[in-house]
Amino acid sequence: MISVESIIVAAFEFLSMPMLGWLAAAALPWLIHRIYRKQHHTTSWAAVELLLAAMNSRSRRVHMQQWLLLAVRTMILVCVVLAAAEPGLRGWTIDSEATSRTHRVIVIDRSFSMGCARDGVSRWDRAKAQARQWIENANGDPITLIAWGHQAESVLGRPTFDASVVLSALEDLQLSDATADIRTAARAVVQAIERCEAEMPQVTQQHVMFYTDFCQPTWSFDESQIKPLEALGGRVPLTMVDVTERGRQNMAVTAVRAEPEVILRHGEAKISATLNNFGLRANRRTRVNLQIDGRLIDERSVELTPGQQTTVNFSHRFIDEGQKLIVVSMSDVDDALAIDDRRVSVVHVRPQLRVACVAGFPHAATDLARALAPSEGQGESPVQADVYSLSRLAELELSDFAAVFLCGADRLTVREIATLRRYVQQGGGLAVFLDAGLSADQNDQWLALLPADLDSEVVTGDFRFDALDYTHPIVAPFRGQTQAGLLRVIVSRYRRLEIRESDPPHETVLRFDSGDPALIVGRCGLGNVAVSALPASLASQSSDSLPWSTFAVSPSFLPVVRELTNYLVSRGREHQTNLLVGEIALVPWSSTTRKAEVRLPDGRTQPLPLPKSNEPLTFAHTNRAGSYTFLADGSPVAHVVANVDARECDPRPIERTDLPTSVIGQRVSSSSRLTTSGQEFSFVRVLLASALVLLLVEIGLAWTLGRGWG
Amino acid sequence: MRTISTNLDPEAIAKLQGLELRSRRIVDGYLSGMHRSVYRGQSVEFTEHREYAPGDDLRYVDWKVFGKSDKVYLKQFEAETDLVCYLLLDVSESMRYRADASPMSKLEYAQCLAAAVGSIVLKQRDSVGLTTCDDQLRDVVRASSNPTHVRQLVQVMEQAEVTRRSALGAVLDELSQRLPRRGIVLVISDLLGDVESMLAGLKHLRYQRHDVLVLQTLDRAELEFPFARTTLFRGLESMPEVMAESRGIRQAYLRELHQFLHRIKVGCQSLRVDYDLLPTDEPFDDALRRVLTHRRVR
Repeated sequence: MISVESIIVAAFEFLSMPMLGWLAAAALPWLIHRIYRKQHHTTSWAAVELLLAAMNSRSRRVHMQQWLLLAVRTMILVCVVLAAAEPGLRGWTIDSEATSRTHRVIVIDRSFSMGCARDGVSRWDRAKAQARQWIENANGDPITLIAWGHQAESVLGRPTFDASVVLSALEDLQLSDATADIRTAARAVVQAIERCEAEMPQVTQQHVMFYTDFCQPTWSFDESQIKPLEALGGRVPLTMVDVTERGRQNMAVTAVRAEPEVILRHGEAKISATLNNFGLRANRRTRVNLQIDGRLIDERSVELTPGQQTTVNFSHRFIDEGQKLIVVSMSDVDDALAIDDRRVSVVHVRPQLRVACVAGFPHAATDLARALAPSEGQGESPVQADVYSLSRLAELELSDFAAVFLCGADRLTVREIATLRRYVQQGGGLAVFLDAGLSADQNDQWLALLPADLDSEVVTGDFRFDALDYTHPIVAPFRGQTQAGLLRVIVSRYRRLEIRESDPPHETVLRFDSGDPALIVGRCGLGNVAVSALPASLASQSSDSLPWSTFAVSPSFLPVVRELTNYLVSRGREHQTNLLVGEIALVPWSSTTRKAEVRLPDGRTQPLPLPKSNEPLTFAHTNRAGSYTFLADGSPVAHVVANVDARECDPRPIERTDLPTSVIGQRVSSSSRLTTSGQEFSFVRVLLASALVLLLVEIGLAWTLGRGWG
Repeated sequence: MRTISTNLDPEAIAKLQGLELRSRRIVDGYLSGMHRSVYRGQSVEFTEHREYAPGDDLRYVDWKVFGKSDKVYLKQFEAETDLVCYLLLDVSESMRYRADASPMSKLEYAQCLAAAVGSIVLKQRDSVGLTTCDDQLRDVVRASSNPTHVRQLVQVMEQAEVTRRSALGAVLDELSQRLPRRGIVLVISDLLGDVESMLAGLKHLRYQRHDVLVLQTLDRAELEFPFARTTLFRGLESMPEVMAESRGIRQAYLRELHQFLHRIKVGCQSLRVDYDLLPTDEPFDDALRRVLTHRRVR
């Protein structure tokens, strides 16, 4: 039978245990009282009977007052000493019958900001120490340990009664380089509690303890995302333990960018690094180094005031082609977090940008090819545009091309569609210029490749482009360039497109003043697909052979198709090589590969399962910041780098007011550390306020006693 | 120990010149003095008529009344007589108390008062006697109007033993039975003790038709309780020791003292006994001047 009566005893811990020694000072008032009484004044007295009568009427009250005064003075000292010892709620111990147990769920934040250290003690050390104390006081209660990072999972799988096993697992836990996602934590906690309820009927109570630094990315979320946690908070005590340290000092490299997006061999590239000082003091003479493929290229010195962000620009000419590893790092930095003092990026240096222009009918790609690669005397181009007829599409090794342009290709075979699909999913760029030929009843797989639904109707009239405020990067260079003539292009016919919903959403780059889209781009696998409602040349398959628009011969055509090419290329394979820690790495893969491996940032090599045909190689465990090298049959074929989330480089905890009220308003307790992070509730504050109140009471009481109560 | 002569400096005595101790009531006396006598006699002050009785002195028949009413009445005259003042001095141990800031103990102050009153009485050619007491009557000096009698009074007061408890009620009872004739009874004491028995004793004296005057001498410390620290009070008159947080009980003590004094004052008023409180830090000559002047006005 389970007892309904249990004694709940609050258990506290003290961050400054030695300060508790000062509790002995609480005996001081009593000592002084004793000494004072011994050092009394003596006099002979005649009116003793009156004195005795006064004593009889007052003695009990006087004694009570004296004891009260002594108690108040003692409590003042006790409160001050306890406040100095920085108490924190360690948890609850349940002293009840053996059959009544509390399931203790420990959720420990592993995000990299927990590595912030001061005086050699990190937030992670503090969290583990406090969790360890709670585990040691479990008294046979079942415990679930949840490691909470980008993913949250129960370390031991199920609740365990053996505290030593949990302690061992806690000791083995390592910080991750990722952020922590509260949604995953909420799910893991709910699962743990439901599992305990299902498997351990003798457990009557549950208590969840979060050890976290309340860092911005972790705790900035929509309340709807933590509904399970809110529901849980209504019936299970949630205790949030803030383990942030006092003061902070952190500098970080928060971004590294290379321009242009498509870098060619012997081309000049600008590499810019963004640096932030998240600390409270200026950091002087910080050295910023640029390394490319392990070779020191340049070094700069910067000074950053607190809260300042600055950009350091480097210039470099790449001689060799291939993937290049760019590392920007800071030296001579005195800060709390080392992992964000370095940031890595991968760029692909190409000898030339080779594109395939596939023409569905004669001259369908002529104007396009000319725009991409003007013939001699018409200007220089880094692009090599090879024109092929549609019949040769199946023969082409598309991986040799950075992008493929399909112009007026109305009929594709299943094999051609499969080739194109694989090409795009592996990171290639595909642009489709429609003509009257391609109808809506085409092969579904072919149409599914496009980011838009087709309408068989050809819209006729007099139309102009609407650049949508030049918000898209492809048309952004036209902003303020009215002479470029983009908005003066005459359109008399176009294919009606309807953007298709997807995640991530497809984007309209240009539209007609009728409101219909003119150019749409969208993702497909690792690659990108663009579809144009206009042909890429004056020639058309229309029955009257009249041109649909002046676009192909307008001055704006060349910059549009070149920016389109850059977009398709840079947002394709290259884009997938620069990740945040915890993101999934997708690497283009040859179907002939027999063995796939990945070399991790720490140098270890890990085998990978080969993907199905058409699908890229997938690696989901980018848990460490650094470079991941993918090996095909032992040879490196691709580099992917993972960096820490720059938002978490700011070591400041989130303001309590920014936390969802649904969580804070529930049974959330905090430790004394919340004081240092400016949180609302604090035992230290309560104790100091109590000491202040008691001091006022003491003054009033002493004054009243001195006057003999009037 | 300072003697009474030390305290009674000539300047203080000089201040008392011209003061008289007048009886507020009719007293009997042997000598024709300044005080009214209960014996009708040789005086010019007519008091009343009385019907003639056989054996009366015919010299006092009021012939005018006889002529008008045909009835024989005798004229009666009030005779002036001398005053007998009995001094009752409390020499119990409590009278020995003297705070550090006080110029003299209560006993010394009382002795000065008694000596000064004795001098005044003798100067006005009345008689003065002295009785010392604690829990019983101790030394008794008979009343005399001899001008040198004051020396004897002082000598007796100085030789008094001050070691015993007081029991003023019983002493007053006994005194009332031993006083040979009516007169002024001047009680000088701190009156610390049982108020009810003390008032009963006074009542007994009043029943004997004595004119009673009570002078209560208390130390300023007893009136104001100025102690600030924890104090061990060692009781006089075999009272126990009391350890007290002085500031904590001061108000209660003052309240008890006020009630104590109030009971005495009210009790004396009801018995038509003159009562005055004389703190020992008030110069005794000033205090005596105040008491006697006040008494003359009344």
